[in-house]
Amino acid sequence: METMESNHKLIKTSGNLGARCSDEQIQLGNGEKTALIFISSAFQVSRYTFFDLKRESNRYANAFQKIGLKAGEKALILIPNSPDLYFLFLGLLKLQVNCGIVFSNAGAATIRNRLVETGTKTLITTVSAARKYASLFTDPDHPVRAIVIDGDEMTDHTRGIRFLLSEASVELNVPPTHEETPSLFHFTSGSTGKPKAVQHVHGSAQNQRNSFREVIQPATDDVYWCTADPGWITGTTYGILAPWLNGVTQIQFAGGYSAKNWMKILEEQKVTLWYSAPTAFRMLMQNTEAFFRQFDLSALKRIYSIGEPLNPVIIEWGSGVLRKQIYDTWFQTETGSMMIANKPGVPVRPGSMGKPLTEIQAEILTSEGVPAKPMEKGFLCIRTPWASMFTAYIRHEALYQEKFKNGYYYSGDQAFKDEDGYFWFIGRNDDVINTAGHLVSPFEVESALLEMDEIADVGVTALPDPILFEKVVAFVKCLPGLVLDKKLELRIKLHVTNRVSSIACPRDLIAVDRIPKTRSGKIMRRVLRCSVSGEPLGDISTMEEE
Amino acid sequence: MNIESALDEVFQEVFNDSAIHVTEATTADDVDGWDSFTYINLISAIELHFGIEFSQNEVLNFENVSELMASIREKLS
Repeated sequence: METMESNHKLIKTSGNLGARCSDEQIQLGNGEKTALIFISSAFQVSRYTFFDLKRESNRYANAFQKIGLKAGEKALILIPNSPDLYFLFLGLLKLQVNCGIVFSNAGAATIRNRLVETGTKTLITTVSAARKYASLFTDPDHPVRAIVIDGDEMTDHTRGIRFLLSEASVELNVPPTHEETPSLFHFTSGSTGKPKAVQHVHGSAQNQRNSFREVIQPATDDVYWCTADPGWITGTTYGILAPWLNGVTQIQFAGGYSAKNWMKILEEQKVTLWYSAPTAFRMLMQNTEAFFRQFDLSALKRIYSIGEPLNPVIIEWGSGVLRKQIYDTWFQTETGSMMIANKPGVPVRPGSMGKPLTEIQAEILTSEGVPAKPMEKGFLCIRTPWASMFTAYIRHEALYQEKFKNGYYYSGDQAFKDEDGYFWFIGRNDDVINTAGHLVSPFEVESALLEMDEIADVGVTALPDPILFEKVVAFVKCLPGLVLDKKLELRIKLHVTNRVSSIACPRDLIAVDRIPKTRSGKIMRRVLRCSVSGEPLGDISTMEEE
Repeated sequence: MNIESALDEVFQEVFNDSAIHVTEATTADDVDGWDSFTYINLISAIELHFGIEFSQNEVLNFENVSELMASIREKLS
């Protein structure tokens, strides 16, 4: 079997991420190779080669250019998972349009926040989504235009490009692209304020390509499947860019989670490399071993995990039931690519994040900013710079600078390193909730809940969950005379789902008489958590009196 | 009671989309925003609307709206 190393030769490149995923692969001799196996929710399978990627992304780039989209502009993509999503994403990158993909379960407020926070005035979408979110286009404070790919309607706010696309040239001169040119942005949650837009650049390709090669270790004929939504950093980096930067065939499935459908895909498409998340594995673990024996998973070579700590019990299940090793990996929206990982050739210590990648220097620092001793808990930091390092929190320069100190990026995670250099995750050092591998800001959920007339006050925090790792829990103080009954619970859940996202929706709602706060008005989430777990409250001297 | 039109209302509320129209053939993949999280909200909304309760086994095994409707009909009969 030929390894990917044979492709490691110098070629002429524009330095453009979109071109490197398509045009460059043709120069490397991968033109006829399948780049994308797209499986619709009805299980219709379409295949696209790297030639197709180049042609269709060029077509989109030319159509976008024709209606005035320019390098340096920002655009937000709100398109259901479909081949066109990937074509137009590469087309935007080729034009050097700075773009973000909205995850599929985003609510209206989330979409608006993303547009406003980044100053984005263009939403690339479909006829049905443009209708559903019509209010976005008439917002007097932040007018937005819609570019609709599946219609030809022209209004004050909408520009349909279906016909333009059908007529557009498939030839394109991709402009030389400097490595510091903005490429794409993703949002990440902090413990305060709205989610921040994390800016990445075209030069991130180096770490994206090399990390995939070092950890996933694809061979020429491998079939790779990353189950992450393209709107999340894992979905973009390891579900679009990294595999194609390495000329690897990858799968995209438009349907949601289903144990049966996922196993069917692994079997029928002979997936060899599979990248998913602990929450998905825990959901799969609810099925019997006999269920998995119905499927021929003999093509599968390795499984990788991202998003939350991988419990040792999942690794045992992978070895026992799927008969495959699961390798845990660690990175963040800000890091842009894997920083620490378990990989073939290095013994796995179940529960450990693994070791830093070749191009990365990771360190555990104490509160004094010096390297911690082995086994000593501290802040997980990455030595700067590295190629896929984020270059900004858009419009939040001070917050960005706060993440760096003395040549290190502070990740916000706490961990320790053992005597053999393996890193072990302990937890976050802020209030961000990690649910099903996605970071949720308690502040964002609280803000949405306080919009409701029935709610007088609210505090949101995380509690442990056997499937989701952490679940979002809201402590709700209703207005006098109102009771948190099932009807109100449902209204609250629907409100958060439709305003923020389904992932941010509180799993549990707990009625309280008051929300514990410090004298300066900060919600004491630790006290909320302890009220459920029964753990000692600790120091509550700063809590405001009733 | 016309279950189909009642379900339309429930789906429209849960998925915040007044254009949704469900049929017996509708599945999760036909509705924008239907995922494992919103499914839990959908089941709660149906239970409240019809005054019924589904067992955990039923909730885990509904494959399409047709099966959901059959279960609602059975519980209302």
